[in-house]
Amino acid sequence: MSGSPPLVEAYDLEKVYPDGTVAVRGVSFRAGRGLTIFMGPNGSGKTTTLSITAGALRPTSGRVLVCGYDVWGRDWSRPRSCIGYAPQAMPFREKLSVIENLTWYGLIRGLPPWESRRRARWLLEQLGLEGLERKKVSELSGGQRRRLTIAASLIGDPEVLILDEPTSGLDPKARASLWSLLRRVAGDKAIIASTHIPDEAEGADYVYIFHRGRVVAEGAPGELIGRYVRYSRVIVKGSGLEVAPTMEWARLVEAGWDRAVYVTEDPEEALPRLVERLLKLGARIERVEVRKPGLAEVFLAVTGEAPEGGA
Amino acid sequence: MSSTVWRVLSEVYASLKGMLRYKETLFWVIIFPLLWYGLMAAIWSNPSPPTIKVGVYNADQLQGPYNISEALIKAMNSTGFMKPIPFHNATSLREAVLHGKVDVGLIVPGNFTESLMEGSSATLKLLSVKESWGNFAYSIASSFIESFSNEFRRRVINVSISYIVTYFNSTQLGGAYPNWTYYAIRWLRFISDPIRVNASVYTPPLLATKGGLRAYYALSMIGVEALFVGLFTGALSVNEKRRDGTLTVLLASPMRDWELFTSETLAALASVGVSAAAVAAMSIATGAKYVVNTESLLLAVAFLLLGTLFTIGLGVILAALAKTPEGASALVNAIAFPVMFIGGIVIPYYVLPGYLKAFARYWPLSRFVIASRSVLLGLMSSSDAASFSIPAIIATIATYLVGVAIFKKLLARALEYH
Ligand SMILES: Nc1ncnc2c1ncn2[C@@H]1O[C@H](COP(=O)(O)OP(=O)(O)O)[C@@H](O)[C@H]1O
Ligand SMILES: [Mg+2]
Repeated sequence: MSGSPPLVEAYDLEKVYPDGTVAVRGVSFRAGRGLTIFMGPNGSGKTTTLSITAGALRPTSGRVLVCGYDVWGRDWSRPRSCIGYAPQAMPFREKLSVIENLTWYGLIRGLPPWESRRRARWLLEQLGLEGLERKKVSELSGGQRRRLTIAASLIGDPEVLILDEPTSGLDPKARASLWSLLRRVAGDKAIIASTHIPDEAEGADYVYIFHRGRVVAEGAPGELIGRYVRYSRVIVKGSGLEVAPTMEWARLVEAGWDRAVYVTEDPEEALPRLVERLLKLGARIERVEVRKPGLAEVFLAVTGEAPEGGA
Repeated sequence: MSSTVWRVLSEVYASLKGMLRYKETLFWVIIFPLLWYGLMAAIWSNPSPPTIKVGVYNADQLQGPYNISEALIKAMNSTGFMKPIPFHNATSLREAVLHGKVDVGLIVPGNFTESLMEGSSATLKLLSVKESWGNFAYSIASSFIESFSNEFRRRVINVSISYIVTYFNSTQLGGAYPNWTYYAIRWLRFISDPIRVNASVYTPPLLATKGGLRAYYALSMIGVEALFVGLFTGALSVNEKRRDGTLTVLLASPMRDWELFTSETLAALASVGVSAAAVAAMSIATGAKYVVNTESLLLAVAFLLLGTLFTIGLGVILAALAKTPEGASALVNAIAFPVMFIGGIVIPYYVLPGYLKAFARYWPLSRFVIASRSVLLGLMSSSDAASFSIPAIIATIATYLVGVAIFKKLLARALEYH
């Protein structure tokens, strides 16, 4: 987790659904200011953990403190006043316009209507949605709807934001810009967000990797990569590459006519020697890429399974 | 504290804003009750008394200007509430009475006028069947004949008196006994008119006027809105919000369960309030007349609000019986439609048969509607209306509390899984 004191602390969460499914077991985490990401494939328990933390789903056992208050303790309102929660499909009322929906989100958090409206306008502006006040939510594009979801979670100016797959349904470019927009608008709040895409998690301050209802690894992305993955990948593109051999300092993992992939511990050292060797063997080289390992490789290393959407 | 106020008003905000934006809601809350109101005001526009059909077989032999049976039938026709229908023989008239084609039968004997002219009594025959309406028709017809007979006697006596005055007094005998004529005339006057009616004219009760009837139907429509809006609000409060995901964000908001239920309740009351305002305005514009004073208004509003609380509570109970929002809606319709007609809300209470009257008297919403009509139409005093509604208030409190308990249970279940 990031340096500041934790605004969210969860201990040993367990959720058994009424049908007997054990969705999460023994999940503990902490989150302070900055972006904390829960990364894991579908069904790994991210949504379950986030809804428990947001106060929408009762855990079978375990404890969550938000802003120092037990979410499932006697005081219902205080921890929830501290949280802005956006489930993966944020419900908007179809009979209300964009600005009215946001105003409603303000009211349920206890803001007076004028205050609610004022903040809604400000957020729409911050999120690049000005001019859409009177539209129906169903008329918005996917990206606009995602930004509106963030606005709705921010309306009560909560300390903690809990966002379930805030970028789902967006193309990679739109995803990247949404994350940076989120960072900018949220300022120094504690953000906990989930994603099943390892690349996205690399922008986080701290990552929890979920697998089959458990947290299997945690740390800052660089730290995780350093800890679990020592190899870089070298991808050579050209022709006549089927001749590529394995070498002791660079292991061949894939060889085709137009493409060869090596893994090596020290790409700086290996690269010139590798190129020289291939040219000698008569291959033609058009391009060489060194791909630094990422969270996808971490996931693979930790679970032995390829993550969905990973490279 | 103030944040609680805004939280419990959130649903009012959403439903009122949604109403303006969404034609369908606008239809159910405003147009639908106005249409119904207009329809009912048009169908039952006159508080006219029922007419009694009198089948008449007139066998009176004597024809001409002195025919008294003709005068009787004419007078009957001019009352406006009896309609004489001629028959050609006694048998067909008897048949018609038996089969309910006429409400009562009248047979005038052949010597009717003749006997009366000779100064001897004549007898009329009235036929009726022995059931409530027949008895009613019989008593109306016979009392009419009785008063006709009185009038006839009065005229005969007055003719006698004028005869005594003009002819008898001028004779020798009359001059010899002046006191005798004086007493004879006094006595005759007495038997011609033993009791006189000194007329006082009262204004009819409001309900017997066009304006009063319109007010009656306007209040019916507000009752119908309370029935539907309350039941749907209660039945869908958890179900539907759970399905569309709204409940998830509500549970993750600072709103507590009682705030959520209060919020739903206030939204339903606001909807009914909007309907009520629209119907009241329309009814006043079309000539409805109410007994308006602070007390009657406050009581009527309180009764209708209580009626809505009752239906909200009942709606939540229905929600517990249904698995899906569709199931809950179906249950609501299954209950609301018949109740709308048999509960004395749309169809006037006083035309319902006895067993439905009993139902309408004890169905709390109907009781509240009856009570609110009673104060706004001046049919009951405020204190009578208040005590009349006490059983309904008790039933409402109980139903609403059961509703609250079920609502909490449904929320607790929603917290277990989405
Ligand atoms: N309402 C439910 N009832 C039963 N099982 C559920 C329910 N919701 C989720 N699950 C199961 O719990 C596990 C975790 O799901 P979830 O928390 O949604 O994971 P993720 O968000 O990582 O995709 C999955 O196996 C899922 O099938
Ligand atoms: Mg999920």
